[in-house]
Amino acid sequence: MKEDTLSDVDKKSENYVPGQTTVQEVLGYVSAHLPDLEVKLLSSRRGEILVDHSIKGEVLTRLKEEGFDHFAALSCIDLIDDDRIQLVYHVWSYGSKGHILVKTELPRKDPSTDTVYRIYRPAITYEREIKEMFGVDFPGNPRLTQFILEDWEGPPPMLKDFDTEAYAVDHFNMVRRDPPSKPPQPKKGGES
Amino acid sequence: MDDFRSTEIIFGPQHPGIHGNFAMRLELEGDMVRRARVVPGYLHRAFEKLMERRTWHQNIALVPRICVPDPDVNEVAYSMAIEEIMGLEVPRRGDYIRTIVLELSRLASHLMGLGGLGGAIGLYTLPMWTNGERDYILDLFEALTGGRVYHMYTWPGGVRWDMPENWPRKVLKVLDHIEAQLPSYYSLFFESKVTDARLKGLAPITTSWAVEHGVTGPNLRATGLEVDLRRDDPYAAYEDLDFDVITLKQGDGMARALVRWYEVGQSIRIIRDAMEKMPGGPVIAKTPPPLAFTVPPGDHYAHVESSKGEYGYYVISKGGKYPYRVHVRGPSFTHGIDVLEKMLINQELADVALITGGLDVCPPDIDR
Amino acid sequence: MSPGHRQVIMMTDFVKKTIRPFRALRFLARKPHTIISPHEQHNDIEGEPLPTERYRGIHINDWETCISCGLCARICPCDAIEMVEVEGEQKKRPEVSYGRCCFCGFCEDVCPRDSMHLTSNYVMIDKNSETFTFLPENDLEEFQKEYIVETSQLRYNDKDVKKAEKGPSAKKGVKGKKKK
Ligand code: SF4
Ligand code: SF4
Repeated sequence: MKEDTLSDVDKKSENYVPGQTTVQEVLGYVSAHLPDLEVKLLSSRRGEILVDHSIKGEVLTRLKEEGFDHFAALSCIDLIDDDRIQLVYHVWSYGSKGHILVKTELPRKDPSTDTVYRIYRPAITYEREIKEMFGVDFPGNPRLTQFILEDWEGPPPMLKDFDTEAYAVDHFNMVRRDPPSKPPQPKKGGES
Repeated sequence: MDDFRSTEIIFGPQHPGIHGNFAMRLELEGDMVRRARVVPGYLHRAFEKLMERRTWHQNIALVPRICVPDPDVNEVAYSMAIEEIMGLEVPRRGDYIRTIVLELSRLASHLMGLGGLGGAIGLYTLPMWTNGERDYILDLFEALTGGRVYHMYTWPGGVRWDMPENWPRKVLKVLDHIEAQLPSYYSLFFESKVTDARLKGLAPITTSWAVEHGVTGPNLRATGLEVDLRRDDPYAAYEDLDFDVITLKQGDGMARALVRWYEVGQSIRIIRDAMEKMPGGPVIAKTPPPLAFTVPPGDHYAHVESSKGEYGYYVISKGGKYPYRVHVRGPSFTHGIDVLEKMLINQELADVALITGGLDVCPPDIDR
Repeated sequence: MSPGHRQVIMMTDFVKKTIRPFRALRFLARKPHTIISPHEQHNDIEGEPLPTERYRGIHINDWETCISCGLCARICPCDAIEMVEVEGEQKKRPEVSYGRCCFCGFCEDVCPRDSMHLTSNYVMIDKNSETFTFLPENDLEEFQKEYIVETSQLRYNDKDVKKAEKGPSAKKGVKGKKKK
């Protein structure tokens, strides 16, 4: 991966102008051009778009062009009952002060979807974490290296079917809180 | 430059210059950093997983631990998300008290952060002083909430108790005291030649670069963009209160420190204003008792402006007593990894601690 | 800009950057924030003693009113409370393990009979770790008498201790410096 340094960046455009498109306008545009997408207006500042993961890149590119250029977070949810994994891209517009949640779903078995880090740079770290915690693969992301879990050899731990207790008993010397064997006598503990 | 030997050093986690519990692998050429890699994970406590197994209220005891210097934003953001899903209305007085607690916490965090910057340039007087002032704020927290560092004071629906009788008077007294000290801190830190030499022009960033890389909060305001979630997406009682959004143009280390400095003054102003406008009434909405507390299915992303940047809580409920999933977005998740790695390139080794401290990186919210 | 003018600017700059930091010297006359813990009282800005009554410290439980409902054990986020059988009592009583307790005070909030309380007492030192799991009762003071700090165990400079014991208890250097 080529690293651009800060001095390269300085040459890029200095003047930042936040886009002014509101959530309502964006949702209107999306439902007009991509009629099979489900859009929902949650409140005057919040909207939700449900997309298929194959076209989320196009939707997100469009959102960025419209001024939703702050990538707030990428959340991953394990919907074990539906056998799906949901990804939620949170984007925020500094100009119109609106928040859009782009939701997409992946199959729970071998989940994989294209990276969006070329559109939204901060996604590079979020994807890295999700790869480790949920096992979702993001082809194209150059930094899917080990993140927080060092020497981890188990299933991705944030999945709902990960048995925390069994893993802890297996891998660590777990000390349980002893049941009080004798009736506790609070005033006789010290040796002073 | 090929015949330069490059050295790799591991900076932290046990290093006085590192800003919290994380490490950096730095590839050096002479004294210049050519490549930096952040190694997080020393503070991973699996909070997001734990929260799925605890009731809504039990999590209140867990979330403040995600940010040590500024813990209240976590409680408030988490509670806000729950309230939004439930459609709960917080009584106005509860909102005002929340605002005061949040601002006191921001004040404490900024004082500590500025002290840390002083430590990074070798000015060890400043951390002593600012942490001394912070102690008065902790005293206030103790009198209000019963805890000094982790307060566990905000509940879904409001705050746990009303203010003690003489508490507002004490708050104003502490504010007066801190305000009276500020000029000497200013001349000690910002008027010193060393600070000038070390901070001016240090790792400058432009607004478009910052937005692209997900920089938020004071670091973004230091590049000249006037954004502040307190004003842009008002929560608690901020819409009623008077304050300025501080921005500076330069985007360098000095601007980042100065934005924090001026925000200290704004926080004092907000608290005074809130004390004056404090309405009466209850402080917490009527909610079911904690053990019978359920939240209807739904999801909400609540975000607040912390002293370090945007804190977001994405809470998903499937109904019932436990959250289905909570995702915490901490400001350091972008500042501390991707942004930091880029900003360190071609900087001197001596400036590494200063840049990290200037960004106010707080590793617990990377690891959680 | 005339040379004289420039000189004036340089002078003010010199004063600002070089002389002013020395104003910090007046802090030398101040009392430190640090206190010598058991010998000196910790006070807040108005000189009132800390901890206040809201401080969340060691538990007490009134066994007369406690109905052994176990709600405190269920709300406890740290699993620190266990309902245990006590000799000579028919009901189970909550037992707190201080290795786990995070002093959140939820047990106090949830108690239907208002019998559980967190006192503002937090001093508890002992060599035996079993001491830190006990049944809160109402006579915390007697309990504390046994486990109070032995001041000889704390290593302080004798001179500091003498000074602290002599001086007035209000220590923080704010008093008398308030404007207004
Ligand atoms: S909640 Fe109160 S009444 Fe119930 S067992 Fe605990 S201390 Fe006793
Ligand atoms: S204070 Fe909190 S952690 Fe301690 S026993 Fe009570 S509920 Fe449990």
